[in-house]
Amino acid sequence: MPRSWLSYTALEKIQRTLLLTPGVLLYGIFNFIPLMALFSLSLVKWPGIGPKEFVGFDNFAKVLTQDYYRDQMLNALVQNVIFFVVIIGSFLIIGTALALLLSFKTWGRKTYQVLFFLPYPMAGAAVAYLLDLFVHPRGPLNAFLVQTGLVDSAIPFLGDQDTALITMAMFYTWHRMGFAIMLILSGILAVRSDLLEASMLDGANRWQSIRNVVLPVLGPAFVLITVIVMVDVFNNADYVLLIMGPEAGPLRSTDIMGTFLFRTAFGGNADTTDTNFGMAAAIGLMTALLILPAAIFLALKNLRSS
Amino acid sequence: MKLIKQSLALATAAATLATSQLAFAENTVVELYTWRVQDEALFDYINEKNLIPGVQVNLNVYTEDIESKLRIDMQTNRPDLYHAKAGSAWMQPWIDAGVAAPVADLGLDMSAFGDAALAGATGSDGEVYGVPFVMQMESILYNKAVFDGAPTTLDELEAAFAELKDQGIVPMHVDGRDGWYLNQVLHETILAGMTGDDWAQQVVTGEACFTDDLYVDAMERFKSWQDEGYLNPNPLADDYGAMRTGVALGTSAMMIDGIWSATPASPMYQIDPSLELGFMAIPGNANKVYGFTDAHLAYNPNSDDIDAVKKVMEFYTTPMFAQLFADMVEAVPASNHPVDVNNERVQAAAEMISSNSLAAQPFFHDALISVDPGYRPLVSEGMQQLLAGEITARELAEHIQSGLNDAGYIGADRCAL
Repeated sequence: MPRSWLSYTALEKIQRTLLLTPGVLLYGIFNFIPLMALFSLSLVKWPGIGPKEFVGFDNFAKVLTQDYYRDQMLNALVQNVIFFVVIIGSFLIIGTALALLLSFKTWGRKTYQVLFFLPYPMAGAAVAYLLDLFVHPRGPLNAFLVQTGLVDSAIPFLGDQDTALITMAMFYTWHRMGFAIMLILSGILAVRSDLLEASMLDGANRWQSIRNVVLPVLGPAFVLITVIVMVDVFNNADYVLLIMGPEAGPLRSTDIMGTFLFRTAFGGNADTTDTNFGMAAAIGLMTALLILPAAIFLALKNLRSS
Repeated sequence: MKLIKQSLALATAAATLATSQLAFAENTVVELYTWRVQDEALFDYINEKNLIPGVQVNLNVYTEDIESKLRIDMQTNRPDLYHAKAGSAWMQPWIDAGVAAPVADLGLDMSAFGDAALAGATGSDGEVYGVPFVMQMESILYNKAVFDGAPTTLDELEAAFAELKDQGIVPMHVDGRDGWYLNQVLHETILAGMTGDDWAQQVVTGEACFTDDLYVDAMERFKSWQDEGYLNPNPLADDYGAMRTGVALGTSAMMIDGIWSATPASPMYQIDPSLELGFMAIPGNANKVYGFTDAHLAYNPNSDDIDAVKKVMEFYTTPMFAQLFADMVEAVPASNHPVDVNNERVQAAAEMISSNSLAAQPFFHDALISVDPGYRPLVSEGMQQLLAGEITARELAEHIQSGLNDAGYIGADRCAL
């Protein structure tokens, strides 16, 4: 076998570079360059067509200082945090409980696995439409509640500003719970059986084994779910846009960063003429800056612990 | 034998291709974008009968967010024509982008249109940017199977509300969820019925204020309907579809809406094909309906088929188009051409628009909507807060006025709070 004129280290470097190149290129073209373009877009006032007017940092200043926009931004941000906390809390508590149940050799667990995962592949628009009908004052949930005497009159789940955001979070949770369960379940199943056996031999009961052996191993899965959900709910607003529209009613009580950004770029249904892609880009960048530290912190923590 | 079969097949294919090429050669196809699904049958008819010589119109209907579709497609020089919404604020970005141009550039004869119709298609530079083709009217719409009275005062209307409520019927159904409905339909119809021409005219010129008693009283009266239980229990939970469903089913008697809901394409007739809708102004001080030019046909001056575009625009100005529009869409055409209308509803709407609609239209007026934040979002936000019981009618008025004042409203000094 002929000897290579390159050293082993050099070969390793070339190999590493070749392996990384496709990923870097794809990421650069489809993520990094658009992100940079977003910055230049944030410096102009532009309704999405026609000439762009350079305004410097006015878009940022307007969002941060003009009452009308600043109040909307703060409202959307606070509500986005609540939205995220409700969803991630549900995923980690209910998702872990269901995943643990599925990990036991209980009767019918395969059927339950399918049932839990079933909503996940459904289109978001279909889920939004179905659930909107489900919780409507004339819908089946309210009919059940009224007929069984649990409530006197229909509850306006999406019509009351105290319940609308939580209802939206529940829609999201119901749709994506299958994804969380699968990730957590795979984490549980990856727990080495000898560790569990050892804990049993040491006299631990089932709950003690779960608490001291299984849950610590689930850390990476929890972090992964948290980061994915955080990035998703701070950047997307599909359910709110589909059901409540860009105005994110009632009284902007379902407004989150995604709807605020959409409304700024494309106009709300109250006014389609007031649009500014530049300001929307500024909002997008600010959102990214807000969630980036948390996402990096969690990812690094995960990396260190693993 | 095989050779004969192959030759025949080739000959047939060639003949088909030649025929289709001939058809394309004879007709230029132009693309028209619209949100108006109710116009589809009309264009099928126009194309089928070749009413625009040498031109076929391909109607592309986008019922949601047509502005985004236009923004994207205009980058590749599509479409040739588009239905534009009324008001200079809507037109301005397209004018700035060079994808809208005055109809005068095409040399169109616009003598068949009155000032009121042209107002909706006029840009801030005073040029007309499209051919207006449909007038709309907003008023109370009611299900005749449930309510068929004719109240002439607010007291009579409220008495009817009370009777309906006693029967277990929602007297007035309101969509509290949709911003566009709250500002464009509900609010403007209340203005038309309960304020008056003078006040509406003065508010767009900065000589009257939203905090005037006339406006506040009108809004207080409307709010009292909710307090008395005459509105649906949870307006903020109901969207536009729920409102129209309630009236179509007869569980609700009335709604404030546009006459587009009473045209054949309205989904209300899918719920009840025998539904009969009547309409009337809110019988307040003014007792008027809100009539306006809803849409005009604008064109892309960069179209590759500008001659065909001109033919379509010209067709929109003809008596034939007005007649077809009234017959097939069952809506009120915007031109002054005399139209033979057998449809009682279209006739009545046309009469009400011409003789009893509010003179000024705050919703479309530059002084109110070209400021940031503008009249439209301020009104929809305020109306939602009013329906949620968060603010009073007086506070609604102050919300609108202070928002406009902050944005440099023309009457800010006079209306300072």
